[in-house]
Amino acid sequence: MWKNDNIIPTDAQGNDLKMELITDADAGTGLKGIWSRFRKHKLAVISMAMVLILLSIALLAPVLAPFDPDEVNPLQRLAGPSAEHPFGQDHLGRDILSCVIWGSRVSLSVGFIAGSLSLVVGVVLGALAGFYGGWVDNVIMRIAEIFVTIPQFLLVIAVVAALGPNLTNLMIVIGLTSWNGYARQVRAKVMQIKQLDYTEAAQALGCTDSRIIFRHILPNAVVPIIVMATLNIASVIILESSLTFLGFGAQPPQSTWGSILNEGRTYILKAPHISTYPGLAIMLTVLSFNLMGDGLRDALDPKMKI
Amino acid sequence: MKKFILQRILLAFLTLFGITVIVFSLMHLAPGDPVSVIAGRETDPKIVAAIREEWGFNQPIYIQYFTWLRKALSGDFGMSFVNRMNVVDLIASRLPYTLRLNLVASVIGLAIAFPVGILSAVKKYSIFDYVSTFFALLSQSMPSFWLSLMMISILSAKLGLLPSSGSETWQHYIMPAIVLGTTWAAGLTRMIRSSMMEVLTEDYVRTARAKGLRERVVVYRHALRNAMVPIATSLAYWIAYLVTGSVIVEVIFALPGIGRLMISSLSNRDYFVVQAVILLTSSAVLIANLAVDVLYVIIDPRIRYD
Repeated sequence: MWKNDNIIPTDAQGNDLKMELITDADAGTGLKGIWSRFRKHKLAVISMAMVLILLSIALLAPVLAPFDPDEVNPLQRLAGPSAEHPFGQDHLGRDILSCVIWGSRVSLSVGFIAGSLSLVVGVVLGALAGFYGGWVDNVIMRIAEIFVTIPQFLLVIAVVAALGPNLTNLMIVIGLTSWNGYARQVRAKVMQIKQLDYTEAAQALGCTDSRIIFRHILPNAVVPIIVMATLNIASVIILESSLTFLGFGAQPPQSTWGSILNEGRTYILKAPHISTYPGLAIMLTVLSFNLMGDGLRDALDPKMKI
Repeated sequence: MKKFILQRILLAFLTLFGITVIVFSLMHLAPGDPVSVIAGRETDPKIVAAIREEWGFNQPIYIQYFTWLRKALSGDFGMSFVNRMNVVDLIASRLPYTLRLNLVASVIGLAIAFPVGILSAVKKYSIFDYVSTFFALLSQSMPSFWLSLMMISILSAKLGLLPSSGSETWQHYIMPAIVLGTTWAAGLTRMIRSSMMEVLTEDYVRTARAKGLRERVVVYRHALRNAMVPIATSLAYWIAYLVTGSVIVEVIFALPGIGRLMISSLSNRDYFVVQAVILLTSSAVLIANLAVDVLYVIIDPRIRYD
C-alpha cells in the first residue's frame, strides 16, 4: 500500500513522510501523521481555525448572544443596524445578531449529525460492497445508482414534506440520501487493499471478516473519508438552510439561518438587513468547511479525486 | 460494443425500476389514507370512492404499485386535485418557463466555466488562477436563495433596474438565470480546471509541444478533447443540478415553472404532481447519463467495455 503514491504527498518532504506513513499503518497513530502533514498547509490551517471559531460561537451562544433571540420588541420592528443591534432587528423586533449566533447551533449540529449518519451508512455499505463483491456489490451499487439519479434535493424535500417538516426528519432523510460518495470511495479502496498480501495474511491467520475490514482495511481509507466528511458537512448545511428557507425544515419559533432568511424574504424590499447577515453566516460556514476539505485533500492526498 | 450498450440500457431500466418504487412509496410515507391525501380538496364521497377504485387503493400494496406503474407508463400520472387538471397537461403548461430559464442559465454557466476553467489550468498557480478558484469556491459556498435575495435588494429595490418577480418579459429571466448559471458555473469551472490540469501533464501533450505545435492547438485540440471525458460525465448531472436550482430560484422570483409547481404541490399534498415531477426529472438524468456512457465508447476507442 505504501509503495502506492496514492497517499504520499508529492511535495518536498517526501522522505520524512514515508517514515511516518509506515507507522500510520497502525490505526492508532494514523491521526498523528495526518496532523503533521495538515499543519504544513496554510489554507487548511486557517480554515480549520475558522471552523473551530464557528464551533465555539455555537457552544458559547448563551454567553455571546447580546439578547434573548426570542425577545420581541414591537416598537423596533424592522429597525436597521445600530450600535445596540449591529445586525438590525427583524419583523418582530428580535435582535438578528442573537438569532444568527443561536442559529449556528442548528446549522452545525444538522451538519454533523446528518453528515455522520451518511458517513456510517456509506462506509458500511461501501466496505461490504468492496469486500464481498459479487451480488452484494451489485445490489449495493444499484441502490447507490438510484440515489445518484434521483435529484437529492427533490427527494429530500418530498420525503420530509410527507413525513412532516421538522429538523429530525430532515437530518435523517439527508443522512440516508447522501452516502453515495462515501460508499464509492470506500468500495474502491477496499477492493484495492483486499488484494494486498497483508490482507491475505490476516485471512490465513484466521481473522474474522469484520476484523479484517475494520482493523486492516478501513484504516487505509481514513484520509478520503475525512476529506469527504468535511466537504459533506458543507453541502449538508446548504441543503438544510435551503429546505428551511422553503419552509420544510425547522419550524417557527425556532430561529435558524434558513428560517430568518425565509422571514426576511417578505421584507427584502424594505429591510434587506434581515436577510443579509444570516446569509453571510451560511456562506462563511460553508466556505470554511469547503476550504478545510480542499486543504485536507491537497495536504494529505493530492491525487485524490472527489 | 453492442453488448456493452445493451447492458447499459438494461441496467438503466433496473435503475428506473428502483426509482419508480421510491417515487410510488412517497405518497404512502405520509400518515393517513393516501386517497384522502390525494383527494384532499375533494369532498364528494362518490369521487373519492371512484379514485380509490381507479387506482386500486383498496387492494394490496404491490397491486397498487403495478396499477400506478401501468398508468404511468401509458402517460397517465393522475389528476391534480388542486389545479383540477390532468398532471401531464399541468406539467406541460409549466415546463416552458423552466426550460427557458434553464437554457439561459446553461448558456451563462458554460460561457463562464469553459474559458475560466481552461485558462486557470493553462496558467496554473497564476494570479488569475487563484482569483478564479477563490471566486468559484465562494460561489459554491453561497446559498442560491441568499444570492437571489441580495440581487433583488440591490438591482430591484435600490437601483430599480430589473423586475423582482413574475415572468411577463425577458427581463424577468435575467436575475434568476444569472443566479442559476453562476452557481452552476462555479462547480463546473473547478471540474474543468482539474481535468485540464491532469491532461496537460500527459506525455502526448508534451509530445505535441515538442513537435512545435502552437499552444492553442495543444490546449484545444490535444488537451481539451481528452479532458472532455470526465467533464462530460459531470455535464450529465447538470440536469439534476439545474432542476434543483430551479426550485429555489422559481419560488423566489415567482416564475411559474416546474420547480415552483413542485413546492406548491408539496404544500397542498398534491402527490400525483410531486410523483410525476420527480419521476420525469430522474428519468431525464438517467437518460443523460446513459447517453454520455454510450457516447464514450463510440467516441473514445480507449475506453474498454467489458
